[in-house]
Amino acid sequence: MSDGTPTPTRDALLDPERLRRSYPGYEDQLEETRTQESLGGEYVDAESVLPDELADFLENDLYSHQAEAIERLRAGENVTVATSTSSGKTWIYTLFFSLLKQRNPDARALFLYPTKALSGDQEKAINDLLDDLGVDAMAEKYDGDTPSERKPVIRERADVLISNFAGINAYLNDHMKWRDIYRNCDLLVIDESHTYTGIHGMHVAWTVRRLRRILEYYGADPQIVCSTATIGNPAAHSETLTGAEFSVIDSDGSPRGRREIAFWQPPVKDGEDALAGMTDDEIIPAMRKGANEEAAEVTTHLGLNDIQTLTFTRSRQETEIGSKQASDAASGYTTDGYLETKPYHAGLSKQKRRSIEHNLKSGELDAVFSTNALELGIDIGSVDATVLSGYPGTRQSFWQQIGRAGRGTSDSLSVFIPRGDAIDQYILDHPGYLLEDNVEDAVIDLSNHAVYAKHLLCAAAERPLTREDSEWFGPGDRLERAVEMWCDAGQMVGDLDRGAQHDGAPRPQSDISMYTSTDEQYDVRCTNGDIDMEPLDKDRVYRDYHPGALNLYDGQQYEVTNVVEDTPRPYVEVQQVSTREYTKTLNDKQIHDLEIQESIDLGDGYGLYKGMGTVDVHYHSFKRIDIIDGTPVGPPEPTGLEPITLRTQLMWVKLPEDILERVMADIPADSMLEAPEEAVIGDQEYTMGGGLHGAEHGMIKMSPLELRLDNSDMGGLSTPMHPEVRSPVWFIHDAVEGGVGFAHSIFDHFEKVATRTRERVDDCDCGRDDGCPACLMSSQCGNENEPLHRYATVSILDSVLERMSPAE
Amino acid sequence: MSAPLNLTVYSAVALSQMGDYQMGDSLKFFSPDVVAVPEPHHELHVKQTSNADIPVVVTGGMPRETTPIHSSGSVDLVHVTHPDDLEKLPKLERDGEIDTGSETYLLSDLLSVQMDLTNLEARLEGGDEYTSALPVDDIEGSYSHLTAAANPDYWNEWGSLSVQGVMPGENERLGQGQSEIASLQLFADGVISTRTIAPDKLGLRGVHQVGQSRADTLRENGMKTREELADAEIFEVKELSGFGRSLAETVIDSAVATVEGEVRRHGDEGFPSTEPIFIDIETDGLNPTMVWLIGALDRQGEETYMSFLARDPEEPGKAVEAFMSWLTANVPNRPVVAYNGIGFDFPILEEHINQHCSGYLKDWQNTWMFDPLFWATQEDQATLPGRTNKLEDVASALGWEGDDTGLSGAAVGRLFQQWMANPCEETELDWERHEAYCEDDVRALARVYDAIDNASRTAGRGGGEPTTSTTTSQGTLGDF
Repeated sequence: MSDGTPTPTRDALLDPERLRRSYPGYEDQLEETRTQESLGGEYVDAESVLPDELADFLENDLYSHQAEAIERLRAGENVTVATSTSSGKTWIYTLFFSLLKQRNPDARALFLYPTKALSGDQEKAINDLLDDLGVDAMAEKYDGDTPSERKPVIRERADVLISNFAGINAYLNDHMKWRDIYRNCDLLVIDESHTYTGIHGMHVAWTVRRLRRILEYYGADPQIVCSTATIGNPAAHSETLTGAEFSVIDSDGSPRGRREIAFWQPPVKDGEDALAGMTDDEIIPAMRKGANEEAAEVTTHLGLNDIQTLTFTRSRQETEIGSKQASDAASGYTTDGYLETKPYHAGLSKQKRRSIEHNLKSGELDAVFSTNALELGIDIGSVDATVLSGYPGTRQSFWQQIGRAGRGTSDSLSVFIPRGDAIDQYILDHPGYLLEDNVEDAVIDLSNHAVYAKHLLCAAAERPLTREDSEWFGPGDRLERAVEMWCDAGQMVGDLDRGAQHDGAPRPQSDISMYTSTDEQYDVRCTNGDIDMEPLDKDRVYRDYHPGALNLYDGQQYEVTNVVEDTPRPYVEVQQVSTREYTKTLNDKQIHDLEIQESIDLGDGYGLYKGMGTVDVHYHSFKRIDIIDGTPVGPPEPTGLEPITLRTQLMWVKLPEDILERVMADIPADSMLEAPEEAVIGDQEYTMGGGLHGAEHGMIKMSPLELRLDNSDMGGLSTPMHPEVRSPVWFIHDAVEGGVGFAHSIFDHFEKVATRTRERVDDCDCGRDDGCPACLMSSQCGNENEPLHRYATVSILDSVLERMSPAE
Repeated sequence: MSAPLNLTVYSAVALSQMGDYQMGDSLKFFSPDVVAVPEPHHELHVKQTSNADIPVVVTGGMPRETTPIHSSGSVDLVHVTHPDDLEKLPKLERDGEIDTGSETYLLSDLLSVQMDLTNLEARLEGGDEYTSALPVDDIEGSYSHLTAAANPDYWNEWGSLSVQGVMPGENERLGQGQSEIASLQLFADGVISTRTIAPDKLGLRGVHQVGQSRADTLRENGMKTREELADAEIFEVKELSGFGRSLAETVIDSAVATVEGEVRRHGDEGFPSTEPIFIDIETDGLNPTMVWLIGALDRQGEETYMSFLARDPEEPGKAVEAFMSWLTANVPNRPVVAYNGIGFDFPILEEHINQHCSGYLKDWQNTWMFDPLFWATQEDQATLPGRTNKLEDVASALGWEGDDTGLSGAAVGRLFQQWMANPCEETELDWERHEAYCEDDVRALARVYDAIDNASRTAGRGGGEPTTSTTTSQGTLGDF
């Protein structure tokens, strides 16, 4: 049982070297270690920042970043706090609110969280804090779960109203009922603001503007606090999200102990005797044991040696499997093999979760297998070690998960176990990536007109629009165009001088879906079980959820049985299945009607472009593939769907025609691909096409290393001769109508993304000409991953990167 | 102002849902001069069920050689099936077929509105072809363009083309309005006033709690009309499948109310005990920037009717302020009554008082506001006569003979918007006429109120337990 006091064994194992030496049946898993040195905390006297009436109630000093944030807030600024999870961010804004409340007994605040679950946890934490501070104020949750009779009561008397943006969107329609809250609102808190990116981020950004507009109407201008995990662009992100200006507090004053991180490569699978003589370089990831299984064994070893361990997996199903595997493995040990372990995820009941949190904190549990549900916010104390089964997707998540280990200032151990995909393998090859100072930028883009227009319509329903509203919805000409469009469509009347009013069906707010970008959202319904999924955009449905598609969601496999479109609310029907197959969808794609918004001329026919384009894509058929051996099961089947057209944001890389010569010179002579008979081009062009295609795939796959985006919402196209661009080119586009900023951010960060792509592709252990899933192959490729050519890709990327000036 | 031409438009869904009795009822209700339907086979359907020889226009048919003109008084309605027809207009004017002294309405399905949100554009499809075929230089009269490719709420000026939609359900939020019937009053001065009704308000279906299957059951048992149902005894109905004693009471009650033209009252909860002030307001739209006319009737002592009018868009709060000044000074502590006040008048007044004369806000909030519509329907305290609960229908079912040519709120709002956008002689409203309409509405409201007040209570009302509502008349319809 781990009770917090270091025992000789414990101490010894919190170190990668000793882990290696003590590990039974060690098979050279330890590839690398990295150390993050300990940091002393930086403290500030509470009295120097807070008035005595509050400071007296605080038992401890404040961390430096807490003090700095409060000082800035007291100076009247908006503040973005970008420090690690358990660095006491909630304290900052709750303390500040207490200050405001003491000055003005009528002061009220809005604290907004991304999920109802987090809202619930925070409600308790904040009320406890207010109690401790002796402040006469109460925080109450108000959202879709609140019973209607309670709502007027809460509106009337809650000092802090806790809610989420989906709720705020709806409540703005009846802002008259909220008049008292809005009039007195002195503080607006947006917590976990880094989660607002992509499509959802767009919706939230416009909702924040509508909210601030109404607050202004009632005479309020609250200060704003954005609480965020570390992202590369905290100031810009907060500003785009809210329209206000922010000071950023990002130097974390909370202390931490020394952190050792072990990079632990799963050994080769049992039974692969043929590989006995192969060198490391020759073994490809697919031949190794799965990360999850390995993670279970490592956890068992640590847990049995008194190291309380928290293991993060990628899905709910994996937590259950992992926990069972660990407990089974424990009984196979020579020592007294009993491991107290439990799975944890958001699908468990509230009671169950509370009980696990408590038992983890009290030391009764040796190990817990969790999804990223335990990454943020929830108080579980600290564990001795964390194990990461697969890379969680962003550096911020990585450090959040690692950060769960380490009691106070004592040392901790984290073990990172990569999966076989491109990103994980890249990190294994370049562990320094994790320790770099740069963190991914959070992408949020407001140029999608369709989303803008819908929120504008809501704003008109809330208050008639005038020219002054270009403060929120400008620039002026965009506002005018949108108002004119809605008037022509019969949904608005009037003009910006007198006031443009909403004149359409009531409650346009209910037409807003915070996760999609068009009107055509498809619900997902499961015929033989439950599924809790947000509605999908039409393009997503056609691409990934067409009839016959197999998908994994939250650890459960589903097959799409039907797509119903001739109803007011279209939907996708799925059923739970358990097969050993997956599906790959094939498509035909064209891109045309390009509009250049920005470009970089690299000379000699090389150029980078950013703009809009029309993507016509027909997801015409799909294949079922056996997971184990990768062979197709049956012939391709038709999806039965019509082609769709998207007008969206994209970027493209134009190359001169003589790139062909260069590529031919760079690649090994015997690696030339053979063009299929139906192709109208020769082997050379086909091979070069493999390089373009590889560059397209590679950059999409690697972009999450630099940017917080969802690369399943992106697509690409590459061709040796494009009719409009008239040269070899590859495109990367957003797969969402109107665009969402992803492709454009790749343009903005081209050099970094291309560099990482080149590194991965070049380094890949697969050694294959046509690459592998860890470097070039994409499960989303509509062309069956053909042609692909690793050397050609490297040659092409080099040719572009060479031309980018150092300053870019 | 001469009587308008009434055009009644049936959607395909409405036609498929309606039985003969309902069809007949709808024609009786709207008394159209011209009927329009989407498809050729609908024409037969209408002709079979209507006794009168009302001309029927098929909006979705193939282009025809002839260009029929239907008239009522000086107002002409021309059915256009192809842009080429527009070239005939100069000749029709010269031949006197079209009266150029009044607005002429062209009805077609050639113009539709397409939205392109990604490019922030709305387009009038068919507009180019239509406009180039229209011989603007050779025609003298003024034309409005009706289209079956847009819904009756749609009106917009596309350049010089004034386009009005007529077909319920077209271009709406999916599922909205598709099953409705629209009635358009086409005035000689170019004003168009529209209203719609759902078929389930007609015939037997229009009786409270009678849905399709109960209507069928009643018909199968010899009760085909509201009159027959009103005459029925409870024991005749309660044994039928789908009914029971309390439901039988409800439906007969409702049928009687409409047929006899009286209010059937069930309760007393919350009904004002002192003589109230009756009001009605006119705004520039549903989410108004201005309340420009408030009519108020005080019948205590010597009857006073007050009209608070704000003509000048530069002084948007004038009417509201004057009203509150009068209310607080002259008739304090009296209940204020507005029809559908809870849905419209009261929240709007509150917002505009807050905006323009917030000193009166507390007085307003302390006023007892009563909405007879809400009281009757949401609080289940009475059954109102009339096919729908609209003020004009209820009042008219009670025998009120008001101003038949009243305009819809939307039409009035639109007129005022035009004035606001460009105040000049052309756009200036006939203030007296509007004040007269407003007064008419206020008096109709008083009539309905009196009918409720005087209605004797019916014993044993069915359909549900008498509600002891915990909300007062100032309650809210759903909380967000």
